[in-house]
Amino acid sequence: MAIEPRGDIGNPQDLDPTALGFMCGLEIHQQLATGKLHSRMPSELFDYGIAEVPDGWPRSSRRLRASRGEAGQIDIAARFEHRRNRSFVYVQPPNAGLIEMDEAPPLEHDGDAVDVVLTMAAMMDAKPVSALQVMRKTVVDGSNTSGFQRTTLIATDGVVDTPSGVVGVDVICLEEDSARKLDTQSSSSGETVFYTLDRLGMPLVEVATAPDVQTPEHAKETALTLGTLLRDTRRVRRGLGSIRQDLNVSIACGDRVEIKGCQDLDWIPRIISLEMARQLHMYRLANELRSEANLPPLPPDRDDDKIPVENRVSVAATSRLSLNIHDLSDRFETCESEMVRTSLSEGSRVQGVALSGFAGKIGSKRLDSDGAQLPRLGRELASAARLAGVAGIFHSDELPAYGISETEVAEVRQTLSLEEPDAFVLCVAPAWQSELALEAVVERARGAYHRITREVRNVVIRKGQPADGTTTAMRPLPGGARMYPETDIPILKVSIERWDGIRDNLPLSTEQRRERLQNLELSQNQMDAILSSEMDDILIMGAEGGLCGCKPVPAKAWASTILDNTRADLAEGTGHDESKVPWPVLTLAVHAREEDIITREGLVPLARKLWLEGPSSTETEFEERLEWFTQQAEEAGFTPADTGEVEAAVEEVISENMDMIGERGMGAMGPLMGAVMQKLGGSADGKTVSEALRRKITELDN
Amino acid sequence: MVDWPDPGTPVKLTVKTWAGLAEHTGLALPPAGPKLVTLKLINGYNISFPHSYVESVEELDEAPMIEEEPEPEVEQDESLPLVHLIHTGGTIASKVDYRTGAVSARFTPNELLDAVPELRSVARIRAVNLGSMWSDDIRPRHWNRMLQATSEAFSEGAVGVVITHGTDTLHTSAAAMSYGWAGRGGRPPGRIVLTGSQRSPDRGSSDAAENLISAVHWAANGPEPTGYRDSSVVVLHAGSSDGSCSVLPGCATRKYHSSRRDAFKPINQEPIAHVSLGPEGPSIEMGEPSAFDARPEAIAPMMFDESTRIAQFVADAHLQPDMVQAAIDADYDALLFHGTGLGHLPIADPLEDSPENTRLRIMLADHCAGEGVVIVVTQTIHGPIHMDVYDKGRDQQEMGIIGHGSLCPPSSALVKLHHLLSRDEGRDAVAEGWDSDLVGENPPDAFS
Repeated sequence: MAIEPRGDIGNPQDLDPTALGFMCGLEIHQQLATGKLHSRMPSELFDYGIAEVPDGWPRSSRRLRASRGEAGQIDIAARFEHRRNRSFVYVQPPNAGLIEMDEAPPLEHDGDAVDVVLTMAAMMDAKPVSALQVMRKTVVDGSNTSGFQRTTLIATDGVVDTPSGVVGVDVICLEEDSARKLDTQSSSSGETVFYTLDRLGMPLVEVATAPDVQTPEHAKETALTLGTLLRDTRRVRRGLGSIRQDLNVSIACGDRVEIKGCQDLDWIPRIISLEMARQLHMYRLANELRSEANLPPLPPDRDDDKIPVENRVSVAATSRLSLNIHDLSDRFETCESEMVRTSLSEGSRVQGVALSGFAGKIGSKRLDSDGAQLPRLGRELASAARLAGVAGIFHSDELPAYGISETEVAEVRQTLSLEEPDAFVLCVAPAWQSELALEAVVERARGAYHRITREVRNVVIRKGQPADGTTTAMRPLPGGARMYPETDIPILKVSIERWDGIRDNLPLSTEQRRERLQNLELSQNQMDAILSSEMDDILIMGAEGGLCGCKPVPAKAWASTILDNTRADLAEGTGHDESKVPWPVLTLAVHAREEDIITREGLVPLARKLWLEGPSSTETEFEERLEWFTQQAEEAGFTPADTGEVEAAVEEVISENMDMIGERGMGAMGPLMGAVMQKLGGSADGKTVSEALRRKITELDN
Repeated sequence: MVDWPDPGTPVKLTVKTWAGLAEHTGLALPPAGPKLVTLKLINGYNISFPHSYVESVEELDEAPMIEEEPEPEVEQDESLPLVHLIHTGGTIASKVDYRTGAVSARFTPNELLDAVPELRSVARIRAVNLGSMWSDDIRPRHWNRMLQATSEAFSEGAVGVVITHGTDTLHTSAAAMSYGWAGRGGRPPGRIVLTGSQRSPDRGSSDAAENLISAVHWAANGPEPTGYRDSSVVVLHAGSSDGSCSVLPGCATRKYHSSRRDAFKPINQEPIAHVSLGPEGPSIEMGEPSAFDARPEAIAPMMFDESTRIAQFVADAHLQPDMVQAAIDADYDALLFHGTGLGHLPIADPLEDSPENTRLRIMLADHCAGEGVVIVVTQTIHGPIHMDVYDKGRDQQEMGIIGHGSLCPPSSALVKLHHLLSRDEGRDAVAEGWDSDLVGENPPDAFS
């Protein structure tokens, strides 16, 4: 028999994972930088909101049918879906065709995407599946035009090494990303959700770890390690929204929940601690309720649950909490709450249910030391009500408040014939909706007598950030029943040659890449910047030479050129993006500068000229191109003056300005620079001139 | 060879992979392909391996978890009009086994009403199963079975009939219902609707339910058929969006796209009506009213002669005379040419370098002279056959090739020809029938 779980819910971060039987695994979703998975469209995101979508993009309006819930019965969420008459408008950007519109069958997998995921599988030492079968995963929120997401299991049973230990990888899948929501508009006839299809069908890798994560901090570490490993392929998309982490969390006295929306890794430990606290709280609450009702206690470990006992408790809970909805609107006609009065005048009703024996159990708002809301049943009841689309509920543990007076509370208690230990919940919404919402509330309150249910929860987000690290219930955890085979795509056989080819050419890890840069005399900053911008291959190519016959260029100078604005300056006014600047052009120009063939000032204009007008790097020998380049430099006056000439000009300017030097010392540098440069024409290298000038002035000062 | 247990048996499968042995536990499934073993994992994925990769298969003790879905019980409202639902196959009446992905027919009324509960407030449904066919396998004998089933439905008190059908040849069967019931000038005793779906019903985005609701709504509540254009109608999505289905004349409709929801369009005419599907349920918006009075009610449909054989040819650079000769020699009852443009065939040789053209011309002229039936329709689908515009057209008319002036779209023309041949009244009667507007296929007011 397991021992009673210990820990203070008021200090979630101090809960002991090992003692509580903590289990945790991660699911990482990362977008791949290849074309779409099952159409041959490019993966491109168009940064438009609903107001900026071009008029010419076609739109179609659709509905989805979900006549049965995933559990095979029509649940409250499904009934709400049916009642709210939701429709979807799909906006069709240039990278969405008939396949994205669900107007034509899909094509087989994008070959690159499969290779990338096989590469990741090999990096995690996973066992590949040799016959790849696309599955359809039912999705009812409209984010897929088809009503399902296509997903393929690629490999199983791998591992990742984290600093705190090995974490198993259960499955590695290749999935389609969903459509991007633009807007939701409500009207009396129903709700319309607008989606754009630019993201729909982009490939995603899903990596699900085993529940080997040991602590909340270890979850963050695992997410970091996995993210780095995936990025090491250099074939993933970067930037906001390109990677998402879901957390699977349970403690022994709770059960598994899947938490979505943890985009920021730093929040992960806190979100997990708060979930542990929530599970512990709900367990203790269940036992409090059971003890007051003289029911057998809930065992501290879910593995010890006995179905007959739970059935008995369920019968008792149902009889204590009957679903008896009262219309209390007439008690609130003069309510101080403007929200309540406005809603009533717009045809909504105030309806309520009694929760017998729940006074003090629903709880009121309390914060932990970090400002996070502590777990309480009230939030769970509100989440349940939101399944019916209502904004929230009022309950007696926090009333009178929100403009609801003592008198009104008393009247409600009287109407519902409540005794002191009883609680009530109110909902303000159109009658059909608050009935659904209160039904959900009563169902959830009955659930409070039991262990928490397996469900999907969402991190509460405010202004794009987790509000405090707490979560709300979204839907029951889907089972395998959501999936069935995609019959439009044949099974894809992966050959051993393909696998071997991938395994023999695994990408370098970040550490190996860092190692490679060690001997290049880069600063630490440069090295980090080169690695994070994934420019190390380019750096090495330039530093080693050989790119289209180019001589090696000094690594440090080459590193600054590829990191600073040179390419942007070069592309300016050409109508091309800076990413289009050819590397052979840049290496040649930097080579010429480092060899004093051109001045620093000449680099950008001359390289631009070489790019746009010069001999082609693939067809012309390096020496010949360099000759052309040198000639252009001479014509434009960008060749450096020889040192004698510079020295002579400096001497001359100094002798003409002895007074100024006497007065200002080094302060005369600026004006004198200008004078020397003027004497030398455009041909002087600023750096050389300033060095010579500084030397002379120093000599004079001494 | 791997000894793979019965579907539904829990198994532990050990397979060799290139990265070592892997173990998978799940339920055995029928193989997803030749020489594969397939199982469903607990997480829902189906996973397959070639036989040669299988190291061991261990049957687990637990009882197989196959749950037969119980037949749902649905009560029907006896005050609603009776509609027969005639199942012939196709995507619309299919259901998916979510474990294997296997598709099977769904045609019991309870299953259907359970899947599309909106139907309960539209009509009382009686389902009739004619079998599950790919629509491309349908032959004239199946048209006769459909006609028979519609006839039985009306005699059992149905106000309308909905035939669920694969979409590929749905328009051809629709034409067959029209000519069968109204080809001799009558009208069917009730409404006949053909419908199908372009997206399978397993997916949330399927068009099946809206198409079916609209079709049943028309069958139950549409206007009385006049026998002209409306003896049978085709009801499917009007556009890529949900919410509206078009009601198209069964005698002049065509599937024009292989995959879109709005694959069906009327040819040379406008839709008869639209069925809108709003929050308040389906409603009918009629198009232009028919200028024709209702015809007398037919007692029974005229069946198609199942021994009739028609040879079809496409007029283009590869139409070879020996193929045509073979059909003539084999005693086909008629030759139907899909001509180019206004209805032309490759029968002239202006450069004197293409003797096959001349041969074809002589062959067809001889065949027509010998009472052979030769018809031309147009590959352009839309627009009239007009053989007065060019010399060649006039030559063709002189040779005895039938078709001038017709607006009948090609697939409807094939059925019309079969209908006329089934009357067995000789070549001149076919020519006369071809000129007429039997069921609305050849409307005098066609401009679209």
